[in-house]
Amino acid sequence: MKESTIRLIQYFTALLIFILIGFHLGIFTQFLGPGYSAGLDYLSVLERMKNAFYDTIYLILLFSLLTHGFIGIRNIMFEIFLTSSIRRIITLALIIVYIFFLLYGALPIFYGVEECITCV
Amino acid sequence: MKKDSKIITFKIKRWDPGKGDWRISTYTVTIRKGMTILDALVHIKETIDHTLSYRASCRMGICGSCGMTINGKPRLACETQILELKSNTISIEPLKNFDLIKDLATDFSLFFEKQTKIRPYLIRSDEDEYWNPSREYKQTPTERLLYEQFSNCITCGLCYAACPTNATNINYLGPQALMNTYRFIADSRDEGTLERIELVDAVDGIWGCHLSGACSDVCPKGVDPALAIQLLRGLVAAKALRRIKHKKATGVVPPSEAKRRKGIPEPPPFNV
Repeated sequence: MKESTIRLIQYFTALLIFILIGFHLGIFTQFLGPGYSAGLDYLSVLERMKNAFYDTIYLILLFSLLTHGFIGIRNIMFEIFLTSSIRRIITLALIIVYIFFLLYGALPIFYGVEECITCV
Repeated sequence: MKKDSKIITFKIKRWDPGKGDWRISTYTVTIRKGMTILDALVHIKETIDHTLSYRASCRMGICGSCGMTINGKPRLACETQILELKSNTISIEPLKNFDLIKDLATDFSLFFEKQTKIRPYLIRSDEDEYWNPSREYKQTPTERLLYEQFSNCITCGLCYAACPTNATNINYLGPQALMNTYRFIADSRDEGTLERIELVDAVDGIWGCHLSGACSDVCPKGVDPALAIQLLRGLVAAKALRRIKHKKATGVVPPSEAKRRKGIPEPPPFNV
């Protein structure tokens, strides 16, 4: 993948993070959600997990945060390690860790949905 | 002592290639108003220490040979007035981010290698016309303005010495080469846009820039390499979004014929 494409993905995910984090924090206000205390309530969280809309939002947020963060880590590592062979190894290692965290992060979202189905 | 003269101490950090180490030489010079750092260095070499090495040529800010770190900032020695530094002690070091030859003289090989890499010349599809020109390449004054400031670069290397990315990444192309890439892409006579974008679209190319702006700050010719890098990034991003295609350069036109106005006499014949 070309460097410009990677950078465009980073810019695009940054924009998504900005919007989705705003929405995520907005839930804890009276305007968009039930308010701060009620929004953090366990049952309220489960209620949101039952909602496919919130699940989609959280999945996109997870993907955006991880993609943006890992591209950032890659950039920092590339400034420390200048050899192309080492850079390839770093990229490969980061992709593996990225996939692991993506699956690990997605698990509670899907698990939450299942939990809610059984609790209803 | 005259009113407009002053005694200044020069601390020169010199690279000793034999020992592979630094040494600091201190010289005291009486300077007059209007003297530049280069004038002082010439004076030191001629009257105090013949072993001092530095590089200089034109003495008027055109050749870009006498770049050095003066009081911590990369400057041209020939354009730096001593009294304007407002300091009784002046430190002089070789340019940073360059290999060293001796004392204040630095090796520009890698710098020019990077400059060559970006193909700093017009790329044309009309090979026959390019190698055997019959007419002039057409360009309007407005088209020229698009790259004019970037063509003022004298390749003195001050931007390269000031760049923090060049300090940490030897592979980074550097502000001068990237600025020159934009200079040729912006030139209406050039058709190498896509080839050049391929060259600079890399971590060690335009994406290595941290936007510190140090390059533009130190340029003795008022060129803004940081701006060129940003404009170049926009072009590369547009290319990635498929918003940019092969640029067709302007064609050739016959040289304009000079017409003599009425009443103006013929010039005398050449006598040399």
